[in-house]
Amino acid sequence: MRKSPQDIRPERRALKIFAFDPMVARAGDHRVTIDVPYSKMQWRPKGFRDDRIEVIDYDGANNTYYTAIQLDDAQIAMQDGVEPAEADPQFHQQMVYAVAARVLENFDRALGRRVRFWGNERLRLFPHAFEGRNAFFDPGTNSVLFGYFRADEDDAGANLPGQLVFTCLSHDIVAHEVTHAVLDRLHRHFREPTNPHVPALHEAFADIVAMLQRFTFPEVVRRVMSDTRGDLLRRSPLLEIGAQFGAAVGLGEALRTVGQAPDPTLIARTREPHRLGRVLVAAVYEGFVRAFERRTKDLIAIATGGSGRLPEGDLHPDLVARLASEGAKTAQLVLTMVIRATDYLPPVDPTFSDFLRAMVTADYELHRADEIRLRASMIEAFRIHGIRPEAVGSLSVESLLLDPRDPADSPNELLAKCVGELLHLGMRDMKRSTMAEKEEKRFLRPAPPKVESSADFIKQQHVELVREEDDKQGDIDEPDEDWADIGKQLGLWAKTEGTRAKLGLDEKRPVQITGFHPVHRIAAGGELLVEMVAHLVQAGAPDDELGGLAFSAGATIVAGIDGRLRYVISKPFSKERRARVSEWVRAFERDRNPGFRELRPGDTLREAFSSRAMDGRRWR
Amino acid sequence: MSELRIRMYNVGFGDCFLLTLPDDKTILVDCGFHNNAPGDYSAKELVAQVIADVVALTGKKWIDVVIATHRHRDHVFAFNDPQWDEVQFGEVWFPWVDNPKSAEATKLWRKHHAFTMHLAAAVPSLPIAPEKREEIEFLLWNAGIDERGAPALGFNAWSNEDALEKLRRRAKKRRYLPRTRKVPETFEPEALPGVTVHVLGPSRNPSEIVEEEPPDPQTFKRLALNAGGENAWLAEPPFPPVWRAPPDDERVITAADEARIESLARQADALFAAEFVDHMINSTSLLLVLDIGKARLLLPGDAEWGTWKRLVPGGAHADACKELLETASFFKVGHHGSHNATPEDLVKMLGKSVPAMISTKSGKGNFRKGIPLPKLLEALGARAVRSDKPPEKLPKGFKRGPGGHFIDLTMKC
Ligand SMILES: [Zn+2]
Repeated sequence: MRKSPQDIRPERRALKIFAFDPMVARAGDHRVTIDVPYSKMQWRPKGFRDDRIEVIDYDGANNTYYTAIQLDDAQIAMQDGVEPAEADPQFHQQMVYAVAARVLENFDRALGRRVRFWGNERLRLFPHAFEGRNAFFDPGTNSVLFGYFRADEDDAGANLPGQLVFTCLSHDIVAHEVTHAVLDRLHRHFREPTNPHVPALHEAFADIVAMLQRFTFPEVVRRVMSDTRGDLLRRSPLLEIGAQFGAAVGLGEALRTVGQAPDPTLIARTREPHRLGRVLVAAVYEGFVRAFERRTKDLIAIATGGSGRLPEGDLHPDLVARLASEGAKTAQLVLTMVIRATDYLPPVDPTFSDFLRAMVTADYELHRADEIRLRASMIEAFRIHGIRPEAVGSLSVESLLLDPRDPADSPNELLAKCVGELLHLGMRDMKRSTMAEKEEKRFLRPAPPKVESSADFIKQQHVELVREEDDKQGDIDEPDEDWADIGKQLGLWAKTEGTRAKLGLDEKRPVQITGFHPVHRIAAGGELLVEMVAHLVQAGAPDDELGGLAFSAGATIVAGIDGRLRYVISKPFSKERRARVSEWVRAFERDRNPGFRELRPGDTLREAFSSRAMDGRRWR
Repeated sequence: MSELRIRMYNVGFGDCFLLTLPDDKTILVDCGFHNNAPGDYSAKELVAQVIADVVALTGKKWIDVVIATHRHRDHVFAFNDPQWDEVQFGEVWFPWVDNPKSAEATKLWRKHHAFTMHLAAAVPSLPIAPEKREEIEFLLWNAGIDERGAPALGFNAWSNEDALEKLRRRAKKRRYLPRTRKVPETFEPEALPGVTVHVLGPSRNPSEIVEEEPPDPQTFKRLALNAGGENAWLAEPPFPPVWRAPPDDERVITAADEARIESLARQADALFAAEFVDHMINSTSLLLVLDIGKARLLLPGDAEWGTWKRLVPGGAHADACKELLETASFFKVGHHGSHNATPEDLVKMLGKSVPAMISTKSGKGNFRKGIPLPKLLEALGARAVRSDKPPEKLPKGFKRGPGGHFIDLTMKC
C-alpha cells in the first residue's frame, strides 16, 4: 500500500520476450510478457544497467556499439517494452535483460538471499558480442557473450539459408548461460572436470533452470496445455511440452523418454558428459512430471466425474487454467529444490549422487511435510534413470538425507561468531536490495589479458583456481571488507587445531573459503531458522600423474547460530577418489589419442569440457 | 612356392608402393610426397622409375590396379606427371568421397573447400609466429593449396582434384569404396584373379568422417578479420548504421574490457583450422586388407583414429574386423608414423613379428609433429623398416634396391 503521493515506485517491470526460440518456432505466436523485479536503470547510449545486471551492446567483431534501449522511458515502459522483433537490436537487449533478471530472481527466491557477484560486480550481458554459433560466460569480465551467425547455406533447418540467427533471442540460451555464470559464482571449482559428472552437472543444471523457468510463465503453459489435451489421459501434457521445449535446446530426445522406462544402465556405461547431462535433465524432468500428476490427480477426477476420461473436443478453459497454474507452481517448487541443492553440494568434484542427496536435503530442510511427495518422486525418477546414490543403505528419503552431525558435537565460539555476523550482514543486504536506488560499494577487477587462443581462455580460468594453493591472497578472494572480514574469521576457524581433520581435510594444507551464505530452514516445530553454509577448498596444483588436472579437496559445512556443525559434506584427499580421477583422465586420453605420444590430457580435457566448448557443441 | 613383392620407394614424407603379385599382376598404391620433405626422387624421376619397374616386369605400360588412398598431395600429386599419359590402368580405386557424381561427397567437400580457401586467403596476412605459419602452410600445401589468395579458384582447383581426374580418365574401371555401410565390405576384383579385398575404411557415413569437431563456420571470417586489409568486407554488422551508438560517447566499460571482448570475439586458431582440414582429408583415406594367396596385407593409407576406433576393441565393428587385423602378415604403417594413425591396440593385435614398412622422413620443424614417433617405432619392433633411415642390416625378407632408392620386401603367399 502506498504511504504518500511520492510513493510511485513500481514493484515489478513487465517486458515482452520471445518464449520460444524464433529459430525453432518460426510459425505461431511465441511472444509473451513476463515481469521482473523493478529496479531503476542507469542509461548511456552504450549500455544500461540496474543494480546487478548491465547490458552492453558491444559487437567485438565489428568494434561497434548498438544504441542501448531506455527501458525507463515512459513510452517504452507503458507498452511493456518494445515489440519483439528479430531485426531490432534494442528488443534483443530488452530480452536478455528480462530473462537474466528472471533467472537471478529465481536464484534469490530459491536461496533466500540475494545472489551477489564478486565485489558486488554486475553481471554483464553482451547480446551481440561476436559472430559465431555459440554463447558463453567469460569469468574474466563477469560477462555472458552471445553470438549471432548466418544460417548454414547447406543445412539451414527451420531457417532461411544465410539468414541471421541470434542466440540472444532464445530464452533457453539466455537462461542457460546466466545460470552457468551464477553456478560458477557459487562453485568456481566446478570448472575443473575431475570426473565426467562435473561438466555434465554444469550443463544439466543450466538446462534444468532454463526449462523450469519457462514452465513458470503461465501464459506459455496454458497455451500448450490446451493444445496437447489429447495426451492428458495417457500421460501428462507436460511431457509433450517438455519435448517441445527440449527441441529448442536440443534435448527433445532425452525428454521424450520420460515415462518410457529409460535405460538405467546407460549412466554406468557412458562417460560422455553431454549424454550424462541429458540423463540428469531427464531424471529431474521425470520427477517434476510425477509430482505434477500427483498434484493434479484430484483435479482430473473432479473434471471427469471420477472416470479420469476427458470428453472430446477442447478442454474447458477453467480446467486449462487450473492445470497451467498447477504446472507453474510445481515448476517453481522443483526449481527451488534444484537451486537450493547448490548450497549442499561439495565444493569440488561433485557427482550426480551428490546432487541428488543435496536436492533431497535442501527440500527437506525447507518443506518437512512434502504433501506432494516431491522428494520421493525425485528419488524414484533418479532411480529409473540409473542414478544411484553412493554410500547409502536404501532409497528412502531418510537415508538419502546428508548425514547430520552429532548434536552432541561441541559448539565452537569462533564459528558462532561468524554465523552471527553473517546473519547481520545478510539482513543488511536484504534491506539494501529493497532500496535498490542506493548505490552499493562496487569493486572493479582489472580486465584479464586478451585471449589469443582457446587454450589461453581455459588456462586463465584454471590459473585462478590453482593460485589458491599458495595462500598468498588470504583466506578469501573478496574485496568488500564486510564480507572479507567474515571470510577471514572463517579462515581462522578452519586453521584451529583439529578443525580440518574434522572436516575430512588435510591438517597441513591451507584452506580457501570459496563461499559462505546465510541459509534458511524450517525447523521441525515450524519456526524459521537461519544458518550458515560455507564452502572450504584445499586446491591442489596441476598434477602430472593426473595429466595436469588439479586434485583438490573440499568441504561444505552448515553451521547453526550456536556454533554447532549441522552438516559436513566432504571430499577428502582420498586414495579412492584420486584413483577415480586418474582412471577418468586415462579413459579420456585413450578415447582421444590412441597412443605413442606424450600429452597432457588435462589441458585437452579442460578444453573439451569447458562450458564454452560444451555449449558450442550444443547450440550447433 | 609363390611370392609377392612390395616395393617401397624412398619418396620422403609421402607414399609410393608398388606391389607385384605371383602372376605378375601389379598394384600401385599412391604416388606422391611433400615438397618440404622430399626423399630420393623428384616427381618426374619417381614416375619414370615406377614405369620402368613395371615395364621391366611385364613388358607393358600397364598397371592392373592403382589405389589412390586419399587426396593429399603427398599421396597423389605425382599422378599429375605427363609420363602417365602413356600408361594404362586396369582399375583405379578411390575412397567413395572422391566420386564426383556423389551428391553426398560433393556436399561434404563443398563445406571444407570454402573453409579452406578462406583460411588460405587469410594466412598470408595473419599475425602469427613463423613456426606456426610454417605448420599451417605445410598442411595447406598438402591439401592442394599453394596459390596465395586462392578463393577465386573453383571447386575443382583445390585438393588435388586435377591429379584425381587424370587417374579417373586413365582407368578402364573406377571403384569408389566402400559402396555400402557394411564393415568390412568384401569383393573380388576382376583385374586381380584370386585376390580378395576387404574395405575397412573410410566410413561410408559422412558424419563419421567429420567426426572431429569442426571449427565453426565463422572461424575463417574471424581469421580474415584479424588479417585485416582487403578482407574487411567480410565483416558486416548485423544491424544498419541507424542503430549504432556514437563511437565517441562516454565509455561504459574500460578500454581493457573492450579489448578483451574483442579478442574473445575474434579469437580463431588458424593452426587448429588447418589441422582440422588435414585430419578430415586423412579420415577419407581407404583402409584396405588385401588377401593375396596366403598373404594378408594391411594398407591403411593415412587413416586416423576416427577410422581406426571403429575397428579396434571397443569399436562398433571390432568383432567383424578382429580376425582380419590379427592375422595380417604385412602392415603399411599409416600416416608416415604419426601419433594417431596407429592405435596401440592395433600394434598389440598385429604382434611384433609382422613385417611393416614406414614411408617417412624425419627432420626439424614443428610441422613434422615429431613424425615418425620414436615410441611407435619401438613398439613396432625390428621388423618395421623405415624408408628414410633403414637399418644397416635389414630384417629377413627385406632387400635394398640400387643406391638404396627403394626397399623390397618379398614374402611367401
Ligand atoms: Zn552450457
